[in-house]
Amino acid sequence: MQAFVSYSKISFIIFSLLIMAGCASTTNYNSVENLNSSENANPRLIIMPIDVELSILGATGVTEVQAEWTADARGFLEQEITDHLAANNSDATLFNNDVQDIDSVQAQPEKLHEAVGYSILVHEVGAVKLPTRPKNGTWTLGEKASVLKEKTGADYALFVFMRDSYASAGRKAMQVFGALVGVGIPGGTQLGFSSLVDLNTGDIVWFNRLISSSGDLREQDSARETVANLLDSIPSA
Amino acid sequence: MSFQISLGKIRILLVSTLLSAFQLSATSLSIQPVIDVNYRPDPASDEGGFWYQVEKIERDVQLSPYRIKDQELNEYVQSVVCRLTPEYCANIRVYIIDNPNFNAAMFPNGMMHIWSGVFLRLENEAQLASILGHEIGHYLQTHQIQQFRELKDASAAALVIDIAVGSLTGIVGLGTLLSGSALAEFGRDQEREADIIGLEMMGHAGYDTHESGQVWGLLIAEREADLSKEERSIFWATHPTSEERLSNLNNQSTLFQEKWQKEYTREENEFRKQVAKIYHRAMSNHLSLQEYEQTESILERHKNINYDPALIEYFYGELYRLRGEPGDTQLSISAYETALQQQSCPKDAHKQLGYLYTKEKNKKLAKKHFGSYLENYPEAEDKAMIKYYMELLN
Repeated sequence: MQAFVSYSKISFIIFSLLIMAGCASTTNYNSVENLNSSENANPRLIIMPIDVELSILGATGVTEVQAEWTADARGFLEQEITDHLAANNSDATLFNNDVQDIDSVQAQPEKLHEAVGYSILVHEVGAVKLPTRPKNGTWTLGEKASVLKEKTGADYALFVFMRDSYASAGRKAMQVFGALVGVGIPGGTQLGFSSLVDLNTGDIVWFNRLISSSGDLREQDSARETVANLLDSIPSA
Repeated sequence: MSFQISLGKIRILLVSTLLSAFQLSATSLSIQPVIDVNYRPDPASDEGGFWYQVEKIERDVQLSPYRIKDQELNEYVQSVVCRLTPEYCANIRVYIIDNPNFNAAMFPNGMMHIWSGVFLRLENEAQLASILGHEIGHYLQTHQIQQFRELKDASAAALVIDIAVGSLTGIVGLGTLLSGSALAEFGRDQEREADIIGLEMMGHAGYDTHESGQVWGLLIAEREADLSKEERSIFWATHPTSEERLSNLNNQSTLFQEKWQKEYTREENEFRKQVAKIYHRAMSNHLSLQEYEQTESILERHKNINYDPALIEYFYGELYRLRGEPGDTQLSISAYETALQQQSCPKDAHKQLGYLYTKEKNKKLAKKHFGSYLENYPEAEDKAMIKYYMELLN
């Protein structure tokens, strides 16, 4: 019952990807060039609840989620993503996947995407390739993902995942102390991905990963830049 | 709160009048709650972040396949919580988790987990109330955020020591090691506090407080039967030893009942009726733990409680079959045969008897039981396999 993507897993990803200080880098995977719709209208897109957590990076390297920063960041990201997609002429709306009946299937695509998104992060765009995986194999949530299409009428679902941490005063002090005795101590890092799912097939048709050691999602302007990076290569209609 | 009057009879009279005034109020606890009803922390605080993570866990549990969702059972357990603490009852949400080990957990936002293994060991509602009361005690005293902060402070201090010592001597990790036992001691004090609050709550709600010590007696007996467990060092244990708890709870119970005299109940019937609903699921899961001494000790106790004797015999059959020690085949056959004399025995006992009689080279009985199995489950997934066995036996 732990959060599926824990801080220790994120650290593993980050350190295995050799971050260079001060820059934001993106890497993507896609299997389609353009979006299409099952009807003749513009393809419709729903923005799934954003999986964002902002943490304080404590002196010992333990992160604690900061609930107020997280709530603010969620608001900024929702707005900036909606604006960005609108500016690109996409028909996109926020979808609050509020499931009342706990036995219904509707909650499952979101839960499954946590696992699949993590797999793509580590095994497709990340360094740990799966040796027996076929070249150009599909990543998919399966056909049951169409339950979301039935619910909303949308053709695509956008999932966004962001984790960011900011050094506390204690951490900064620890960095100074560490420097005095010759031990390097890293600061906070931003890790995110955005993922586009075709709701007819459940396939993940586009995936973009962002890593940065700068950027502050507690500020709206910075959130706008982050979103621009996150969505920079998204296929258009 | 305690009145020292030397004349015995007058003391009892005064206490019982006071009792009716304070009966179900949290203010009659010797350790007062530190949070108000409907408490929520400031989202910008460390506690706010802690609650955020716990709320995420709660959403996962709500949708989890390991959650036992039987509505009546959930309502029953919630009703015991409300009897223990009418004021805080609306803030506490109990989730029953499908895990056959004995455990319960309290989270700072009012979410409580009770594992199905608890229901397999307890005998009555008073014992359930002692477990629930203990967890509620943790909640009312905000033990979790305190532990969280202790851990942070201790590990911060430990890390400074680690770095300093490490850079001077090359020995890494000393600080972290030393902090572990200090944390464990703090945890044990909290456990003792929760035991006291739990006992008082259950007593005020009319449950027999002697049942609280009984729970630990049951667990000690089970652990003693289990040959695989090693002695646990108190130094590292986060809970006081079961023996210490048993003795403390018995003492406190005696004192409590001397002070607050009234009719105390154990409430067996509704409890056992509710447990019977998850009995098959929970016992099957316990068998898959392969802790056969524990399973046996649990089933022994179930014989004295009026759970369905057919089910108990059936699970003895399963136990002996899976344990597979010399002589167990015969014991297993005998248990399944006894169980099948009653209508309520699960019919896959026939299949197991089929396999066991095959092993014993009793073709007639093996075929008979395989046949009965297929009669009861004509569309069984393994019917092809069973039919194949039946042909081999010809």
